Amino acid sequence: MYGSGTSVLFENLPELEGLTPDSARRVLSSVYGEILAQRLSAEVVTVDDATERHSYLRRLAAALESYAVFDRAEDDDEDVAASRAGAAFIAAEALSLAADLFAIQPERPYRYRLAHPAYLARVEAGLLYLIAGFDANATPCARAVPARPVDTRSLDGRFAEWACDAFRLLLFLRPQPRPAPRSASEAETVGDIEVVARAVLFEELGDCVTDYIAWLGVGEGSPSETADRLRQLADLLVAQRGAQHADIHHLARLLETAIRSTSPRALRAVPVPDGMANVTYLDYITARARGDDRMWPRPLLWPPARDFVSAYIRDAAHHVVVNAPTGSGKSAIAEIALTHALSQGWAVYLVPTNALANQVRADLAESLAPLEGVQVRAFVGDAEYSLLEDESVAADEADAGTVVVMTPEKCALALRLRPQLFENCGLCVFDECHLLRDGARGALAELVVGHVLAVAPECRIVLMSAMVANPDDLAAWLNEATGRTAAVVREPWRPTRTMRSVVGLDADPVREAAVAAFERLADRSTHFRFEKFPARHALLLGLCGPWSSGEAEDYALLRLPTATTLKVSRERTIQSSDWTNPTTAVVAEHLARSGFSTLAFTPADPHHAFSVAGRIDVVDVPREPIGERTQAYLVLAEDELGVTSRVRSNIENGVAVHTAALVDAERLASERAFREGSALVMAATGTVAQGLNFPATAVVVAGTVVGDRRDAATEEGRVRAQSQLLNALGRAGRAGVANQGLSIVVPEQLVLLSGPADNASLRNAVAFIASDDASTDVRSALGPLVERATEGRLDVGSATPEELVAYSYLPFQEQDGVSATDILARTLAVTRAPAGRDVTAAVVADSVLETGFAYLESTQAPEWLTGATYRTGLPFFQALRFQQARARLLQGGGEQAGNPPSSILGWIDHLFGVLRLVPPDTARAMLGRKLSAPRMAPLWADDAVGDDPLWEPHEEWLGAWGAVQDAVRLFISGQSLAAIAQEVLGAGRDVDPERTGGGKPLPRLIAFTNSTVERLSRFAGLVVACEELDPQLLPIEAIRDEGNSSWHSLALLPLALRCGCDSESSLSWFRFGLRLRRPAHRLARLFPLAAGIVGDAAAREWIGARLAEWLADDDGGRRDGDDDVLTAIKLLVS
Amino acid sequence: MSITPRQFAQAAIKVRREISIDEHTTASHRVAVVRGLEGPAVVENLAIYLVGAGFARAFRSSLKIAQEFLELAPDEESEVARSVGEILGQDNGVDADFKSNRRDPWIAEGIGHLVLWLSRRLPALAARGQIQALTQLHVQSMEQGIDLAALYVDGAALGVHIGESKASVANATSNVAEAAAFFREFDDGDPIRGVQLRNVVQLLRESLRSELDGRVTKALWEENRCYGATVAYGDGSTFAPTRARKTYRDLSPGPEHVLLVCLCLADYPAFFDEVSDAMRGVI
Repeated sequence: MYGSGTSVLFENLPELEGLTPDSARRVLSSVYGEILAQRLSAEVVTVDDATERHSYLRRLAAALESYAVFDRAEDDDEDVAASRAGAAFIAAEALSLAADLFAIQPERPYRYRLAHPAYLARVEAGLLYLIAGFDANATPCARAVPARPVDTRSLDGRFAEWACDAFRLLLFLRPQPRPAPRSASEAETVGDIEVVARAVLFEELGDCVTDYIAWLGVGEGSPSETADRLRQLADLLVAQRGAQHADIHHLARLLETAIRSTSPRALRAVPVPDGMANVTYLDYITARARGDDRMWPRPLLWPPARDFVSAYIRDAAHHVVVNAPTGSGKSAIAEIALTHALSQGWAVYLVPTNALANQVRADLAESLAPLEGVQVRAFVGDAEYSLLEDESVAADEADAGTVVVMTPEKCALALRLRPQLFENCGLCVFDECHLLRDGARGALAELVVGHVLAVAPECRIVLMSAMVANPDDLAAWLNEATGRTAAVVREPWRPTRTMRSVVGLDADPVREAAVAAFERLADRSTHFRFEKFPARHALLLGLCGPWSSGEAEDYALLRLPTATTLKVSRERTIQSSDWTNPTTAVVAEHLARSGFSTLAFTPADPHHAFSVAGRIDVVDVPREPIGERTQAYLVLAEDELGVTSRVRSNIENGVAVHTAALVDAERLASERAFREGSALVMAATGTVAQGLNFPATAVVVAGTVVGDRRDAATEEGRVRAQSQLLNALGRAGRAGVANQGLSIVVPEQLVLLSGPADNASLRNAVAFIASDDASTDVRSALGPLVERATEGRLDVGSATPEELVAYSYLPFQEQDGVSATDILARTLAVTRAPAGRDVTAAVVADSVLETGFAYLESTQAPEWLTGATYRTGLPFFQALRFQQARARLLQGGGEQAGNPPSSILGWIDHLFGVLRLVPPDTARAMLGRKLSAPRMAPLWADDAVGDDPLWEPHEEWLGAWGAVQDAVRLFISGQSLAAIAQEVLGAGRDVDPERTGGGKPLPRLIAFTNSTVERLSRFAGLVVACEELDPQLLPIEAIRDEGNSSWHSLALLPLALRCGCDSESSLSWFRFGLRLRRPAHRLARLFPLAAGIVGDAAAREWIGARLAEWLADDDGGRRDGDDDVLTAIKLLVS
Repeated sequence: MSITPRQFAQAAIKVRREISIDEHTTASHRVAVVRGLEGPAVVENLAIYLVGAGFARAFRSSLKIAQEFLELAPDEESEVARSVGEILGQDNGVDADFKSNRRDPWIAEGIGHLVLWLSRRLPALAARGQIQALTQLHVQSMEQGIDLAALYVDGAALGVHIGESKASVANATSNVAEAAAFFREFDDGDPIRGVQLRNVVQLLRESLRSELDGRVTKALWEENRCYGATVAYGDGSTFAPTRARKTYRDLSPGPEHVLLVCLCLADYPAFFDEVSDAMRGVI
């Protein structure tokens, strides 16, 4: 349970006989195992003795609290402070685990909450967590103390209850102090002097808490003065030696220590950014510290953020590489970096996916709102080339105060189109920067960072990841690339602990059940070949973090009440083929029934998420009701699908689903359902691991194969799989809700478990579980290119995907003063070339460009085509074949200059006209995944081969492209997926709503709209670029004339295709109204975009006004004529 | 009426001179049978100690605390008299239930406190080592709290003395068992007792000499502790003070460090009436 994030805390314990890091870790984990056993109705088997364990636990709590807080400090140097913080953490763990284990509840009435030791212990543990720097862990402690004060009329009770509320606010870290209760009346002060004394003690205690809370919320006061007051209070009680006030003394000393140790971490202690008005910053810091209904308060910096502030602001490191685990507050770090950049320039925030871009944009817009003049942008589109002003960084945004959140692909587009705008970019935050190692995407991301640094030499870079094993290398890269300091924040700290476990079969009962089943089978007719029997589960828990130990004492066995149904044959063999997913479902359901919010990962296949979800039914388990916005998304999901959504039925059963094979509304419904608690389980694929945060208290991983089994044989596949599986395990733990989480691996093959000594077989079967974290070295994806270029071995014909990215990305001639050499000189690959290799950017650039030029010459491609590929980011070879096909089409006279298409649909016809003529090999490369529709099959026929640009397509080929075009036409006209399936797939009248296999109509259609349409939209961008640089259909004077309908519809084409819209009206509703396809069409029908609206700003304003009118019109209720879809749309746009 | 700490300390010393202690060792614990408490001089000094160490000191402590934050000037004499009245009754005419449930147990507890105080000079009364810091004799009833606790030093070790007092004419055997049950809660790791023990130890440690402070954490880790039960009973009861007791056998400090102090009273009712009268007289 205690991995690298907490190891340092255990390593510096005070010297006490019998106290070792391992024994402490083992006992705490073992106690958590007992708590799990209670919660899961399981029986626990350990090597050690429970009585001794409990004794150790309470000694741990008492002794380490004593050391952390009460021992008189002699040399309070850094080491001692670190040792005390570690002791505070372990004491807090011991106290809160003991409280959970024994679940002490008041047995008799108590006068006020702080009079009950059970609640005192929770407050005690919470304060110790604060002292240790584990702020989020204090929240569950506060929650364990009832919110409602006891109805007391006594003087001391009144103040004690107020003080208790103040402690709860502090532990919740909500700096919203409450006013003190009515002061003691004269009549009250002449009563029992001991009661008066206790009342004033509580009043002073509560006052100190309140003062500190107010200070954290950027109010008046001084933490050191408050701490001094507490010390005086404690000293007064010591002098009086009154055991009756020992509780108050204890709280006062804990609080004093908590204030002294947390105040240096206060958000308000972060220095005011240069150039920012004090008042403006104060507004921001106040709002951030206090939080509100929509924004969680953040008055303290967690350790990674504290270290970041120290490196980035106090020590003024120019760049910082942050390597900190998931959930350790990296978004807070980015926010601090942004606040310090925005007064100087604008900032780029790179994230790996559009979904994450939208989440980050929404979060930042909320948190940075108090900073005047700050705006946060993200884009609707993806990597497709677009001329729409809202789809790229605009000139007016490249001013101080703007944050643009985007994917590296989108940023690459912006850099290629308007590099000059980046000159004023003061900060580039790259979240999930381990993307750098990921093949072609990584190569592009690296070139983007190099390009940003080339254009804006002063730009600061903040790289963030949870999975980088070599942050020093990345820091060295930034240092060498810019000559500026680069620091590393390496903080394995995370706010929650995860118990790693593996599920198997409980050996003895399973053997008995199998024997009994075999005997039953023997008594039956030979017609029956198998007999079913329930195989009970057992869970082996690792007590010492990663499963590196082979000692039985480091493991515990939980005998679960759950079972998988297996079959025994007449040959006495057990059929175990259907083990992984059913077991995952059974275990996940049991976890949900036991109060865990559970993520069930199905890494092998995205469709398995549906099959696992379908096996889970927690409909009878109490949970939050399905929220109205979740319901609304489900309505829109079914409208999009045209049939019942399986996601709806799953959510109604209490299970959300998250895979790539969802329509957007389903994904949004699932995310909401899990977050709001109406779904207790989320069955998910690796998509969830890509930075999206779905805190869960338990994780079940179905098997150890990730994606295609063939990949598992390669080293890269093994590393990727291990990284994803470990990342999945780390998802268990929900800061602020539960301090510990449980992760369970279901091995590929079933295994029998008898006791803790069986760990060896499991460590073999689930090897990755012995690794501490998911970090791997980030190496440049451009490395091989640099090597080959330096050695003069570049060859376009054998170029890797990463090299193709470089050919497409690097400018063949200087652009705004930036050359390919300038960009390459700032890449990881060039600055950190392997030792002994003499690499210069100029040599690499020359080699790349010469090779590229030579290839261009050999292909006789028009000169302008390099510009088109540069703008679109498409591989040159594909662009070349596309251009050659385009030339053939135009020469054929099907479309004539002067008579160009004047609508999006017209341009779609043109796009497909070109695509039909692209030779088969390139065409398939352009389409990517195979489309499994009979009418499209000729595109993958064995006889359709070759890459001859003069290739003559046959009828079947043309028909197949016609089928693709039909599907696209139906998609952009707003038809439901079921309707498209009927027409394109011949799915029949009743389209099968099943989602459990990739061969079903809906999964096929979703793959088409998510993948194929995305690729086609990039070629739509190429149509735009071709017309810009080589006007064939449009007269040159029409270019960039907003009033020209042909040009205007062409400009809309890529995004319209991507978003599934066939008109400016529907696309505008999608972009500025509701980012869902069919609702955008519906709104466009209801409120067609008025004629004369030109440009994005005008369209956004017009749509905003229509929405406001529409919503105001009916008081938010349902009007006559509104159907469910319209009602849902109204709710979601309100 | 003002009784200074010096005065009640002197009273305690006078009590020490008058009493006799018989020491016994059983298989389960040690026993100290205290006799001679009924003598007039003892009763008189006992009263001074109980009023001084109990009521007056508690009053002054509370007043000192309250006055740190409020302007208060109550009259000590009348306040102490009121408290004494609440615990002892205005005279000995109070009903039997009051005596057996409130007055007599409080006096027994006060004597238990005195016994522990005296143990610094009388090793026979020490469950273990020498007392270094002792909780104040409380006046208000505690909410499930520890009535009596102290820190002791025994050689290099520091530990916690946990005390419990009981009084009844003829139920001493039950009282002894009840005290054992109380101690057992600590042995069993009752979390509530754990909270109370941590609170009181951390309060008391701040009175220790600095060279002893460093031993507290070790004491908590090693659970160094001893138990002291004080039981007052009538001499005529069937209670056999020196018998080994099953309920004490397995207490964690071991027989050497579990002490049963038996306050054997020739005339149990009269003793408590006399002490009460003497205390009222002190006021």
